Amino acid sequence: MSGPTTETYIDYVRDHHAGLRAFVRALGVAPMWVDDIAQEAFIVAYERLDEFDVERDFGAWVRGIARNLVINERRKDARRKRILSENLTDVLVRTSSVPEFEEEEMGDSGKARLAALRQCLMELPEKSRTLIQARYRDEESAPEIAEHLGMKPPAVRKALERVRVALKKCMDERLSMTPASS
Amino acid sequence: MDYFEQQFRQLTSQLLDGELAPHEEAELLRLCKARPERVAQLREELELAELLRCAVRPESAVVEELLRPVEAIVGPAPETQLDELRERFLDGEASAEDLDDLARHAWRNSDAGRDLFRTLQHEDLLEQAISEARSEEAFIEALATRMWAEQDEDHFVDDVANRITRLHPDLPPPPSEEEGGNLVPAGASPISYFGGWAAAAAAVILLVGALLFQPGEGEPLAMVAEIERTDGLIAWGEDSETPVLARETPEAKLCLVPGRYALESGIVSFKFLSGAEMTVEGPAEFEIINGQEAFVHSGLALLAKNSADPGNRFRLQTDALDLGDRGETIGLIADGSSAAEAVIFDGDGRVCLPEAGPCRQMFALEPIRADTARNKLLDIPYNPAVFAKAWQAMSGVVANLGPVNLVVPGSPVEQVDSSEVQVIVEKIHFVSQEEIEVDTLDPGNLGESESAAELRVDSEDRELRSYLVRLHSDGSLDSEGPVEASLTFDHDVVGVIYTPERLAESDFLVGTEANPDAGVSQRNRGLDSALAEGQIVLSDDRRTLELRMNGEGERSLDHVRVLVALR
Repeated sequence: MSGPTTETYIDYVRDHHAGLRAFVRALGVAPMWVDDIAQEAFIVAYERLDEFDVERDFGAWVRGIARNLVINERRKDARRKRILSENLTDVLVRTSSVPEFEEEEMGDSGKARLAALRQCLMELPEKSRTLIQARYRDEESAPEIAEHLGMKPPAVRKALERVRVALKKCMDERLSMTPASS
Repeated sequence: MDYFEQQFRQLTSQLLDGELAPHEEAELLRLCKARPERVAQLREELELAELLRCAVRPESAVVEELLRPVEAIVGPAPETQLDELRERFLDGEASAEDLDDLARHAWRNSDAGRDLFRTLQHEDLLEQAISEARSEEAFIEALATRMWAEQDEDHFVDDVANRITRLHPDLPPPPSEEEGGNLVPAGASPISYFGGWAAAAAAVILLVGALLFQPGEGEPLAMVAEIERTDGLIAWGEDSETPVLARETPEAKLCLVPGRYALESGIVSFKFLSGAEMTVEGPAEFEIINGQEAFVHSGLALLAKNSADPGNRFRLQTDALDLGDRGETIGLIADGSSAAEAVIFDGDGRVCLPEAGPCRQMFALEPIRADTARNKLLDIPYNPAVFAKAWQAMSGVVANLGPVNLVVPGSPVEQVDSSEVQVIVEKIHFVSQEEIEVDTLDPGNLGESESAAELRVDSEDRELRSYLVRLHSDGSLDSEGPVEASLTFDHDVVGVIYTPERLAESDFLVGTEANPDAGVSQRNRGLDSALAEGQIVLSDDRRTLELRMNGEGERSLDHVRVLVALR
């Protein structure tokens, strides 16, 4: 067994950050703290790099670290918690801990998924892209978007849901066309 | 039962009683790491404690307590439908109650849980794809900055700097923190030293695998030490992963960046920006971790910390020994991972075997050998002769003529040849809070200097080094005549003391604790002022002292104290 070099670690960060951040968010971490916890996980991984066997899956290892960090959030004082809800995180952590689900859903495809998603965004109609940008880039709520676009909030929600589903479908299709090795 | 076993039991007991302080947790962890069987013991103790806790309470109370955490999830079915809750959640409009209801749905229906998990992942990827604030660049730059900012012992940015240095050996040399302006071209961005490196690190991460990082003219490298002196034929081995860089200073000094170096031959003394000075005698392999940390893999090294700045700690390690950041002047010999010997010349310290091995106090001139095979730290006899060459290089006496012996601390000076002038480094690096009264400051013949009573070295904010030049006559010199010697120092001489009174006064401020003449009457020290003329001459460049010592007259012990200014 031999530990990876710092340069390998740099490669790991580049390859796994997208998937790790998405994973952290999926554990019920408040959006504004997602990157914070993902960074902590990478820092812990860096400090323990000597313990990591390069034959193992770095993604799974760093996700394990992140999962433990999120579990620790449950023990914190309410004002310092970075999760949305203890109960929700409890369920999501359990969900993420099922081995088959881990393999099937998380793997190390975050980087590929992000690339596919970017391509799908480019293909969106103008209005849909405006909606998505308002929600995810400008962090506006449905009522705020509705006000800007002259729509009703429920219509904004429905439209956002439709675009999300379309983007997910587009991303999955693109990934299915791409060889797994890439 | 040994000390560590007793400590383990004590801490375990405190843990079980709920009285373990945070710093004790770390100690318990260290003890468990040192002996894995302790983890099993700890687990058994905790299991037993839990069983006892359950045994003394009614079963219903125990079950109730176990269920309480999940009650909120497994309680009554939520009234609000899953889709509606999910929609509110994704729109950022869910209340705390909504989130608990969502958790209940997910608990009851594993598919709903998985769907929520996937949806949240997708949400985050969407944000990453759209928001610049969550871009790869922003994330990695923040990570690199944070690694530097949050970790006292972070090497990440330095490691990345090394990588750039290796990829671009022709890059302009780095600046020091103090003299960065020398190398950063006019008009360059006033980006902070480490902030610049954080950005550089981020850039490298982004472009790893290809030589895409093209540092701008204003981006400095992480130089942490300058080579002060070399002795002998210097040969850097091919195993050096980091080049020694030429630096564009008036002195054209060479500088070192963090990384691993292999010195095949010669002796190199280098000074860190923190003020600490390290001397390595080849063959040796060593690693500069950062400006305040070094690792000696093999070979002999001396370290003189910057005691002028107590807050500036420097950590020294080998594969077999961790000397921490204590001790002022240290010598060590590392033999790969199996063994190392260390001695503290000045101050006291603490030494540990690596990986949570045993530790112990170290006292001046009481060397210790680390035996990793036996997991022990052993007292060994001190042999100062092994450090003689390196000590000479570090002493700052760059040239000498005549019978001069640069004494390694702890050498049996009272037994040396009485016709030999001995030079003892008393305080290798200090700042005195008080003025030091000296006998001469000016170049030229001692007898031509001004009135001695008016001469003082105002050492405030000046880093000094003190030497004691000594000749102990046993009377045999009468027939052989005086001993003449010439000493050239690597820094300017700013004061010379030879009168018994001033020698005694300055002992406290600049003298060594290991005074070889502690039992000698003060009256018999120094030079006889009646005979002083012609005995000491300071050169015009203030670097060379010519001495004629004879142990004549009332004095049987010629003492001259020399102060040089390091900065």
